[in-house]
Amino acid sequence: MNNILECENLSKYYGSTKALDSVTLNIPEGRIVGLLGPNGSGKTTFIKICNDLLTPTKGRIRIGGFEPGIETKKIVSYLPEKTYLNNWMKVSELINFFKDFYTDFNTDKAYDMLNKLKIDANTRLKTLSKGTKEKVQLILVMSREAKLYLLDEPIGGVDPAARDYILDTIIKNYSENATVIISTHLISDIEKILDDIIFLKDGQVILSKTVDEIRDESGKSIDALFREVFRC
Amino acid sequence: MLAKLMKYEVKATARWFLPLYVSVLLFALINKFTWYGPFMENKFSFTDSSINNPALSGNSFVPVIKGIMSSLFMFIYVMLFVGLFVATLIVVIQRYYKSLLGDEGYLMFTLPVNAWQHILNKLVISALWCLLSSIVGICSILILIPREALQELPYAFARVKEFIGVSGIVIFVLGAVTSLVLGILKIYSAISLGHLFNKYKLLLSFVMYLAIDAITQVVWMLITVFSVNISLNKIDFASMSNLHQVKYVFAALTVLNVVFSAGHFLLTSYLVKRRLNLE
Repeated sequence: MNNILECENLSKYYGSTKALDSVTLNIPEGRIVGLLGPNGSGKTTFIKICNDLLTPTKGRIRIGGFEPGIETKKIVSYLPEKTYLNNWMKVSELINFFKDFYTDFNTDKAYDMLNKLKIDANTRLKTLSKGTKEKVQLILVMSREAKLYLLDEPIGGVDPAARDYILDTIIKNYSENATVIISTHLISDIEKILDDIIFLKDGQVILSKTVDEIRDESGKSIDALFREVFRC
Repeated sequence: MLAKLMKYEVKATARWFLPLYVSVLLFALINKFTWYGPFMENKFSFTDSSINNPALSGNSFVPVIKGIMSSLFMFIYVMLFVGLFVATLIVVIQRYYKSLLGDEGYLMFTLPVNAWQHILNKLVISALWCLLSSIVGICSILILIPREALQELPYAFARVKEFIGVSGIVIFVLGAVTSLVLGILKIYSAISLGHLFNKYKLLLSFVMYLAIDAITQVVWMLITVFSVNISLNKIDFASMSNLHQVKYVFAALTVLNVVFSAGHFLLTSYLVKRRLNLE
């Protein structure tokens, strides 16, 4: 199995603070990976480096064989924790925007999802609620047929009912052979869809296993294990 | 990709500028018919006719209202005219600060586009709007001034051309355009530098701008002193006509503008590519 993401001794320091400390990971194609850890454990820093939004202090990282840059941006679909959509465009204009810049964008898929969520493509972003904006953002990100999806807290801001729909959307819409990395601390909600988990603590990987391995070895759920590992 | 970026940048900014341009030109036109001032001799002014009309002269109310309206329209026009340039400056700053370094940066910087293309995009579109704002501003004045004065314009242009020559016009235009480009890039550099700090980013951007401006002035002065010394040996500056001296200085300014602009462009590209940390 090929690795979509490889990194070696990846580190990011802010002054003397180590946001990411010698992270070495190999993530294969076709997996759903949970990047789990408490607040400030380095999840967002890691994802930002993957997206070329931060330059690592040390170490190397390759996505699909490339250093983060134009080539990786073509194959990585990223959902940041921020609302990054401007307010003045209509939803349909945003779809055209994505279609213009990403060759892997599937317009039909986007409209299909909008219909299912009963979001009118002719409304301006300005008039949408925060939760609806997040849904639009997720639809745009999942409508790309990317090789790697990086989802930073995709369910953080929405209600539990919408969470199920979003997770469903993620599972149903990611392309075959693609890998999805989901960063979150809401573990029990996403546990059932994960293949692999990575535990991050103080910028270091303290555990990286498949969900089956964990269940076989410890007999615990991921949520229970997380509470045990990160006990305060 | 650069063309696509520009397409969206124009879309994003046109919704500010077009209504503003229309209002400035519209109010210039309104004032052409309503304003009567010491320097305006306007035959179409309804205020004039009402004053001269014996039927209305007994009634002082109508001219007063018309006078107030005429002053109000002129006030709005002047406000819009000033607003045109203030708004242009604000949009130049805001489009860089908000759409690249704000939350929208998450979208823009994960597009498969180089950092320098983003900066070039903002620069070109901003410069074009600055030029267009100036043209609209000039046009609104041309609308306002009396027709007799307008007829003198071709003659005035001919005199300017005769005096400074085609080469002079080219040199002045190049000097102006490169000054504009440098002005915008200085703002970008300052904002990018200010963004390196964790707090008071906008305030520090402003401080950075003052610093950059001061450094630019010092360098410009040193180069002037230095180059005048050199050129005095090679070129006989003193024996040139005044016009030639001015052209010479403008040409030097253009070259320096290009050099400084390149420096700011490289600095901004580096900061955005390597040192960027979006909140």
